[in-house]
Amino acid sequence: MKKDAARDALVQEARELLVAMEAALLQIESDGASRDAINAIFRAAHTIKGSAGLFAFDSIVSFTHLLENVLDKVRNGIVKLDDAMMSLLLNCGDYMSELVDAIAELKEEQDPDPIRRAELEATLNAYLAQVAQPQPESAAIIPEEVAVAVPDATAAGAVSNPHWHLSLRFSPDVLRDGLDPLSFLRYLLTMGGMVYAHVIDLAIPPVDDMDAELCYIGFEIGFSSTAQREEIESVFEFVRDDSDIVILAPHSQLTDYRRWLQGLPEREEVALHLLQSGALNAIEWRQLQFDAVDAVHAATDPGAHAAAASQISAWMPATRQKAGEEKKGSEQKFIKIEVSKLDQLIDLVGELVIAGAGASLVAKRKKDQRFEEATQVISGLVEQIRDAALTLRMVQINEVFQRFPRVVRDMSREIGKNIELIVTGADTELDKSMVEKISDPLMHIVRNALDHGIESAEARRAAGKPETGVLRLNATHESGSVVIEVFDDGRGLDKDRILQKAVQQGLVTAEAGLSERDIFRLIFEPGFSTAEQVTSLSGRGVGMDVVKRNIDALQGEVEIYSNPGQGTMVRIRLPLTLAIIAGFQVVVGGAVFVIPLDLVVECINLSSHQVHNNVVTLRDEPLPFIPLRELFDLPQRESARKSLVIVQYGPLRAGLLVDNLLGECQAVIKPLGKLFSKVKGLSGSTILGDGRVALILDVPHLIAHTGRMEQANVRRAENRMSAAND
Amino acid sequence: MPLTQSTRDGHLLLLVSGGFTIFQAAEYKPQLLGVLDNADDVLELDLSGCDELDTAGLQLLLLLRREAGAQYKQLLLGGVSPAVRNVLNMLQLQDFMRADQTPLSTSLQGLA
Repeated sequence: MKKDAARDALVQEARELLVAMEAALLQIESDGASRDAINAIFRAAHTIKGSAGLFAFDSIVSFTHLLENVLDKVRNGIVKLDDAMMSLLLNCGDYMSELVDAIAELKEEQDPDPIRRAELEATLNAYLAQVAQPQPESAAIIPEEVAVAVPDATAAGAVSNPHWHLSLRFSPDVLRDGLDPLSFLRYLLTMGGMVYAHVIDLAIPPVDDMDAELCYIGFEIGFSSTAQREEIESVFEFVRDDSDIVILAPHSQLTDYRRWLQGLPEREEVALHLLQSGALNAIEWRQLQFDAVDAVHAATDPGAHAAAASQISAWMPATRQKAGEEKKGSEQKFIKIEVSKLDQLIDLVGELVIAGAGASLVAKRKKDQRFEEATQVISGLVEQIRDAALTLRMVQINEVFQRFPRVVRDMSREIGKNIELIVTGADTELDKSMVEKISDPLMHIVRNALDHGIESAEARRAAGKPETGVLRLNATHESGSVVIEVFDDGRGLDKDRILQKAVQQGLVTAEAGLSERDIFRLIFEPGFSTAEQVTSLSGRGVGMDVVKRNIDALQGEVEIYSNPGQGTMVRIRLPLTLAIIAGFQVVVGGAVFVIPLDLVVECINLSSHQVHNNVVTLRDEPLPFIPLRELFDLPQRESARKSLVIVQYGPLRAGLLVDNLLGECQAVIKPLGKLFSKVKGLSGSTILGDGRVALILDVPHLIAHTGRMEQANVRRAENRMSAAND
Repeated sequence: MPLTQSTRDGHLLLLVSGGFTIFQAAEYKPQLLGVLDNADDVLELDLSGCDELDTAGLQLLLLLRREAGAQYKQLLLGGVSPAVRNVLNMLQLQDFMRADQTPLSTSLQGLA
């Protein structure tokens, strides 16, 4: 289980890094190469390689290793960062996300795309071979430096050992954390060779005390590599801070060895092993023993001993502390929480809201003022908790939008158009579950706009428009919903053609007299979009029915606005959240209904207004309304005055005629059973404070309903007029 | 059964198949030690069917070796799978569980 959690963490981290890498690449493309951006790419690749190495996902490690080598050349200016290189790097990023997806699906044994990998590796290797000429120079410099450095260093008490020495003692919990020290070693071996290895098992306690799930063993390793200290340190980056990782560089000072050994409980065995493996030669080793004896002597002097001890502890954790601090920097801002835990919290808050409503009801009945005041304070807090809990689920829509720069870039190259992408309102927040589900429909709309909406450069020039087409993505909050707009300044929709084709396919009759909006809506009809020749003519509509269906499933709406020659806008409207809403309770024929409060504009007394045919004249403007009692066929109740609740969804308004107004409430939305899935006009149910069930009205649907009623009325009136004329 | 006990040439033979990792460690520890207790002089481990060995598994092998030494019993390694050989080679433990259990230090004293 732990291992799976670690795997999930790896996948998530890798995905985030790949996104960062892509963003950096695109930034380079738009703003030119900057050191920061190149470093960001390098870091991303390096970290992915590191974490994949821990889990022995060799396929990703070997590929990233190659990529990293090329990136290193780019970073050092040996390879130029030109167009071809940019495309190659983006491609590599794509392939890596395929690998990461494979890991997520537990299919890491299998290469997701061997052909692509072969191609990419060939290209990467070609880059490396190309720079093979300058490489020897740089390679030659390093040994020279070392060669110069060695005699000096030896003189100053450095050991002759030309290899790294790694002393590894892992935290006892390392295994339980899902990490396997052996995989660190395997990964280490990708950077160099092991000269000697010694397993330290002295710390394994007596049989009865030994917990098989704790890590007791340590490793002493001689390691030959040209890697830098940072690279070797980074292998162990993921080990918890309480591990003891000591890395001694080649030709370290003998005093460093001594200090390190003195801190080890198993120093004698390790010292012997150092001699046996050749890490220390006999002279150095004897010197070390003498020093040890000195140290024992010094130990009799408590002051000196304490000084030595503090020296060790000050020296040893220094590197570890640094790593810990760096980690803290990024941890302070965010913590990662499993979505299921959050859902559980929101469920509980929902129950709390219901229980709180119940408590205030009791308080009201008791007519105890102090009790009532107390419940009021509590319900105020509950409301705040509800809001805070819901915002936890909110994420910025940027999570979706950030995919589009790449899409626009790739597609505009593919189809040979110049397209500029402008993103606004990327910080608009909406529910996490929506973000995931809106991503695909949005992608579809954007692709359509790029492919069919925006014209080729020649056509644009001919039409007197700037050659570069513009695609705009915008997101805003609007009266309890989130509006996402995709706008292109292309050729627009051809209304007549759409209608013509729809008539041909029998979707509508020619004399239906559809409004412009209704015609555009035809694009979303399933029958319409699948016809190949229609799309090539009108240029729109492939799979738009799927888009519509996805958005409907989110209780959202989609509309198309278009001006011939000027462009098209697709507007998606989504509810903010699907979990808890502030509601407005009304009574109709003895039953309680809840209207989402965000959508309520005002309430009026109907009797004081002029009413005709379910249309009320309000402030000199006609407003259609629905008598809910008739709609739901509820029993007539004697009621002196009828109230009208005016609701608004998007640009449309309508009235709902009810018997009584009860006021605001918190409504935890419970979905209706399957049996009611076909019922229109209701979006869910909720439990009231007194335990009764109330239905939640589907306002968008009801408003649309008034629109249809109105049209039917107009038609009826027209018929009557024409009949009268006859 | 991942752990199978039988005899070979008159001594106890324990076959470990499948994973020998943190997931099995807690379960295997008492079983391995139990088998060692039952062994007369020699216990042979056959790891040729073991397809994964991690630090936890290796640690149990080391514990078993130590216990065998303490009980003056011989621990033999009959067969190893590629996965096990990989680990043993990497850590230069190829000589692990050879017939003679002479402590390392005796051979080193001359050098010192």
